[in-house]
Amino acid sequence: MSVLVIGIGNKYRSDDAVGLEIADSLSECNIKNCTIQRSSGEGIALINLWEDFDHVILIDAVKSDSKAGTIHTIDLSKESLQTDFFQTSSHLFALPEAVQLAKTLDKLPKTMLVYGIEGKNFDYGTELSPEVLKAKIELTDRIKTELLELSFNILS
Amino acid sequence: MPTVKNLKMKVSSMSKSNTKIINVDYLARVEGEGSLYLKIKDNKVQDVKFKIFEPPRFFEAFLRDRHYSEAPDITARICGICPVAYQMGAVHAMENALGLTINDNLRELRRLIYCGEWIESHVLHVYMLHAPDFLGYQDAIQMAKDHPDVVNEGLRLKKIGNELVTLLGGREIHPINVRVGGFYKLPTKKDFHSLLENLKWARTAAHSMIKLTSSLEYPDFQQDYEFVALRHPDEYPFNEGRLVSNRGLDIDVSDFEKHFEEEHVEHSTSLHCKLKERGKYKVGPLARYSLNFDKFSPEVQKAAKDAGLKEECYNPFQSIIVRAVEVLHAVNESIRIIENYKEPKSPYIEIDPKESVGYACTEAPRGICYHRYNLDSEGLITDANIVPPTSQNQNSIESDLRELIPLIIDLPDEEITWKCEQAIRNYDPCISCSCHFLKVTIDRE
Repeated sequence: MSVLVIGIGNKYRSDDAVGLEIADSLSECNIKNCTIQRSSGEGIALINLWEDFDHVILIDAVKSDSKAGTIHTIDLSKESLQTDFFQTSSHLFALPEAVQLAKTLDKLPKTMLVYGIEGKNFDYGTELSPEVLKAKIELTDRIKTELLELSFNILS
Repeated sequence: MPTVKNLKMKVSSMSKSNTKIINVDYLARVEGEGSLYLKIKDNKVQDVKFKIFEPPRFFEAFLRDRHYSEAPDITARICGICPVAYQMGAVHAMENALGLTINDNLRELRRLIYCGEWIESHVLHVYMLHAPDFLGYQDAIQMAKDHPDVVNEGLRLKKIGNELVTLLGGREIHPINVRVGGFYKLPTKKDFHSLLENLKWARTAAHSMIKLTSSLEYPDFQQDYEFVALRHPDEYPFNEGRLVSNRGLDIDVSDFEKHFEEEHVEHSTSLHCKLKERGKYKVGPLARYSLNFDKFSPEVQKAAKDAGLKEECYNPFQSIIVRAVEVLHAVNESIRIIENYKEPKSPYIEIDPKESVGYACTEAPRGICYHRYNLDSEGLITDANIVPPTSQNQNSIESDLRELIPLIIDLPDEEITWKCEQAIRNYDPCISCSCHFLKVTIDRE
């Protein structure tokens, strides 16, 4: 069973880079049966990436009313994505739209788990906020453990 | 800067005597953020301001004191939709500065990765962002319910563009394999095998894309544009050529700043670019097509004419057909390059830095993208200037709206808003290169 992990974000928009940085960290672990990709979040490219996989994990920065560094977990087999949740993307056809379109065209993977890290600063820059950096380390470890066990129980 | 997005436009309307205001918080199906202000008095357009909220020119400042070799990877981050355009502008400008010309198969590979980006970008726009306008759907998701085969065809076509960019760029967004002097790693002939089969399917799909777009209904809306595009003696332009227009402009790329100027306007934080002598001009598919029709292959020319296009196109709503025609060209060009590909002896040519200035202009999917870099003797960037296509088209977008609104002024405000958005989408404005969101305000007196 192979798993696709997609880190979404913009390297030069401060906390928006957290998904990409987690993808970078996971790449260094060389986890078996796991493909790591990075994406700007453009929706059609996301569908193109995930359509050949049964199990997908997405990681992106989010902005809601939660505390910076909060890790949100959305299991798409149980709940829907709020369209204004992943508002950090400048793409108008982004992750929420991609999920809806894929659902319409029967191109959703069997399981899809979305991790969102609450960001604080999305201005131009290359540093993560301290709260987001802490969440990055925590979520990287969590996903790494899940992938290494690869029982993928959380999704099955 | 991120702000709240909603899937649907928020439209509010206030009417008192002859004054009416419509606010649309978000223009759907364009890349980025901005706003539009329309003032209408006694049913006549008084003012049109296409506003773009461009953050400070972070990237130009960020490039200063960086080594010239870093520019392709840094500039690729300006845009998630057209990173290759920025990379190509950067590498060509650096090579111009340092006196290097790339020929033969390395040059061909650069054309090939650009083909991939044109396919990706045009297919995304035609199928997912613009076609719903013409077919009366709120978005591609609604369209997919009634036309799943059409949307699936778009998805498959776009994936082929992604594969081209991934193979040559190392990954499909923000490619990392492009460098000044060539590439870091070269593909082998074998790497192209499955891609070639997919491209042959794409050729048929591109023909059906042209037929689909030509079957749509267009308003009769011919505009008197000054088109500006690259023109190359031997080929439909991607990376090289002189800058020409249909009103006599014919200059070397290095003279761009002598003939064009960017100016701040109060209502936009993005610079507006204009021709010093004549003001507004238009870049992008219509300009490229109209100035370079003779460079298409007979097959592409015939497909365009069968679709009802003439050798020049002045109706911005027909840009959707022109994009489909350019997809066919990009697919055919990809097939040609791959079939003739011979692996170069070296993936790149070494180059020594020197104090210099370099210029380049390439044809991004949305139009010409100009780069200038000043380097010191160690190859560090001391100054940079990048002019993206959408900032060049801002004046033309406003002009289109001024001409369009009188034709639709009696429609309900929601329909006016929709038509204005569609007219803006004709440009496929990638305002995420420089800004985000569009908010529309109509002020009637």
